[in-house]
Amino acid sequence: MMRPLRLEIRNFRGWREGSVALDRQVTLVVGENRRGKSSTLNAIEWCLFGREVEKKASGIAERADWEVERRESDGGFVEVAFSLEVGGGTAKITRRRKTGAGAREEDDLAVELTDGRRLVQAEALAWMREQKLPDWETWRRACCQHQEILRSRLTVADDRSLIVSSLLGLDEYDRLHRILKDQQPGKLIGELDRVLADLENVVLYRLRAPSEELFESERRLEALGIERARLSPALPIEIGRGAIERARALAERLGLAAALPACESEADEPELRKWADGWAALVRKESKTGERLASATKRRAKLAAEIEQLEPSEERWRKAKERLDAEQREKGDEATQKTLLSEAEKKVSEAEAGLRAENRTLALLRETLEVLRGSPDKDQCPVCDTRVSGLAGRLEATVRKGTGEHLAALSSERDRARERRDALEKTIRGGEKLVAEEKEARKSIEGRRGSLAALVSPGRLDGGADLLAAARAEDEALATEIGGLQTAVSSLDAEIEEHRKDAERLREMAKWRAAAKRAQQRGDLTGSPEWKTFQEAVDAAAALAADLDVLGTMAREAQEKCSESREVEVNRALGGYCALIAGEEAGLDVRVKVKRTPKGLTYDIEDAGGGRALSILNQASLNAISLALLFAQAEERAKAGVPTIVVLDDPDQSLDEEHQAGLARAIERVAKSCPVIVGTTPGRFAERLMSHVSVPRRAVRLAPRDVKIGVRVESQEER
Amino acid sequence: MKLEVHQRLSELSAAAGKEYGKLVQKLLAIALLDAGAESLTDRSTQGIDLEATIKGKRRAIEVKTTESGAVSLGKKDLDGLAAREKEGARAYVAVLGNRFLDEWTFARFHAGELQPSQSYSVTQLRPYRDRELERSVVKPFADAVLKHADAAARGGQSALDEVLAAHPAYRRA
Repeated sequence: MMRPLRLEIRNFRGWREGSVALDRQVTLVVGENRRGKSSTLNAIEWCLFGREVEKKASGIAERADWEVERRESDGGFVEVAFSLEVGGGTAKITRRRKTGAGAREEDDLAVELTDGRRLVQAEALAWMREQKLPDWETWRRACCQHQEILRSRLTVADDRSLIVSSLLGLDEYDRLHRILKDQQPGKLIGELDRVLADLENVVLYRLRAPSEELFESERRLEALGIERARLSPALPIEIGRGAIERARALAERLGLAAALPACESEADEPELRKWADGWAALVRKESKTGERLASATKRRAKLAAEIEQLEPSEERWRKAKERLDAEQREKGDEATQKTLLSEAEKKVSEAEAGLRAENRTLALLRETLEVLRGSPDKDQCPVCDTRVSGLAGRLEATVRKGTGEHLAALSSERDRARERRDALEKTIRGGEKLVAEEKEARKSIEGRRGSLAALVSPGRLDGGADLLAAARAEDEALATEIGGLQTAVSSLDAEIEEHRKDAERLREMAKWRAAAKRAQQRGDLTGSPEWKTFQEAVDAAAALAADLDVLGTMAREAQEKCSESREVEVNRALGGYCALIAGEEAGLDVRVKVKRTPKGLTYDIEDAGGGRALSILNQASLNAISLALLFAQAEERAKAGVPTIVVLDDPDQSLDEEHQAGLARAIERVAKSCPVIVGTTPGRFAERLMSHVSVPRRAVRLAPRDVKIGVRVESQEER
Repeated sequence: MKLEVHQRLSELSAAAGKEYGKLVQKLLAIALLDAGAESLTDRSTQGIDLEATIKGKRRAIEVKTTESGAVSLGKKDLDGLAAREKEGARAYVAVLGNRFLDEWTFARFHAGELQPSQSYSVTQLRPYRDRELERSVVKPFADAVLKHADAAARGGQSALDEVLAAHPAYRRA
């Protein structure tokens, strides 16, 4: 059991220099406000923990911007020496700090032992740890939890859990477990998964174009009869060999002397594709089958046209000849017609001559008559002077009657002769036309026969064979030849079509391989150093996550194990202290409850009925529970042999007299296990502690504060 | 994995439906045989999926495929793996995701660390990987997929059983 003996203080907060005896089970530091109670109690804390106390991270509100050095210090050192009985001997722990020292300057820490040893700094700290003197965390937790309980109603379960776990000294496990198990590993793994998914999206985005190109190429190859399962870099060689074999057989069949390419390895592929692209055209050109078929087809078409035209031509000639013959039969031949025409023309000439003579006669008669009419002797002929009685009259009658009729007869005769002549001329022209037509038709048919004869193979017309029959025989022969050629061409077309497909397959395979290479180059990260680095980073992060996970599990297991014992220990004393402080009738039958949930352990303080206790209590009850927890822990620690000291600064705040009496009884009980130092104001609580408590006790009363002298002890009383 | 392998597996998954897992197990078995396994037993119904002797070491492999990136193992699976470990074999959980960047993850099984019916992401299994085994199976598996995936899509498990049966190191379960 640890027992404090004495506290010597110099230049610490309100103290200039002085000491306080602490060698009783209960020490009361009594004084009005601002007399230095807290400075005295703080001196113990500072001596044990030094700068730890001053850190803002301590979480103790009162310690924020803590001034350790006395403001009116006359220089030298701030020093607190805490003497105590521990481990079967005595020890004096001294912490000293040069006044005005910076925040980074280390304090001088020394432990003087009864055997004369003097341990400093790290050795001193090690000795303190070895003696299991109160550690800063335990101290800090006790301070913090009390603050929290008093300030908050703690309606949030997590806050309660944290406070209670802190009360039980398990909050570090709890925090560790939460960090390791519930947050970091899961977050890290989730983050890694997200990073991997993002990376995949990036890669797939980059791959989209080449992969579509690749799959499109595969679809085309499927259409060309190559299943995707067959696709391999060796396939073009296989296709090429097949194509070359077929080409060789075709060349032999057609009697072509064609050079075929080598097809052994990938290096031969460009030449192979070039050959494959040109082979079809070469075969068509060299085989001439197509040309022969075209020629035969053309010849047969021409022959058919000539055969078709020959008969109508013959018919036309026959009819022309018939018309000519009929004309000649009816109207004589051309010579006869011409003779008749000559005669008709002669008659016309004669008629015209007679008419002209008659007209001349009439003209003379009229002239003579005119002369007679002017002559006095109308009976004397002016031409021959012959006298004829009534010559004029007779001449007039002759002109009027006789000569006129004769002239009309001559004119009529002439017209008839002309008509006859014209008719003959017309007949002759018609005959000539028929002759011309017949001649033309004959010429035409002779031409056609010549053409047809030229289309018929020599020999078919030998022996005076009929031209048309020979032509028809020629046509049949051509039809047979064309049929054969068509079969040959179809066969060649099929071969060439298959070859064309092979050529296309080879071209597509080259595209497929290029597309696959592009896609693979973009998508194949596995060989890249970046991928390796990334994988290593992921592995390292995953390993860290796994370690955190395992540590979280271990922390939880340790926490569970520890919780079980702490729960039992604290509950053993907690009810008793609550009853002491609050009174049996208050019914503060509370206990710490550890709950196991899938997410971890949670802590709460429950009442006897299993309901939540903290959230329904008044401030006094909360204070009572907090103090009860503190005492219960201290008692259990002391029983377990852990050096324990309870320091209470104004613990009777917000407690009525009844509760103060209970608190005094609780202090009496805990003081039986470990020393208790209480700072309080003068009054009934202090008096009660001095008068009613059965353990050895001392009251140290502090004098009114004097700035120059500092805190000082006015009187001491021991019982 | 290679783009074309991923493509084939995606198509196989679409064609095979629920049978996909077993088909992938058999493709992995073919890959392990091609990778030089001295013996291999493939089970379709009960027990550990694959048991193989590779480089003189006995290996028990529970095969899982995942679309979500996470797997969960039944109590029977875990008990079976634990039993094989006790017998001196190396037990693995082999996981293949369906994402393009996924490869086989062969995670060493440690009794007690994996809980039944709990979901484990592939990332969580990474620290337990047997990289040598993973490396040895990458190419044979890609080859097996390219070679047999179409047949598997048409003929199902029996088509792959025929391929397995033709291998001298294959042992019928």
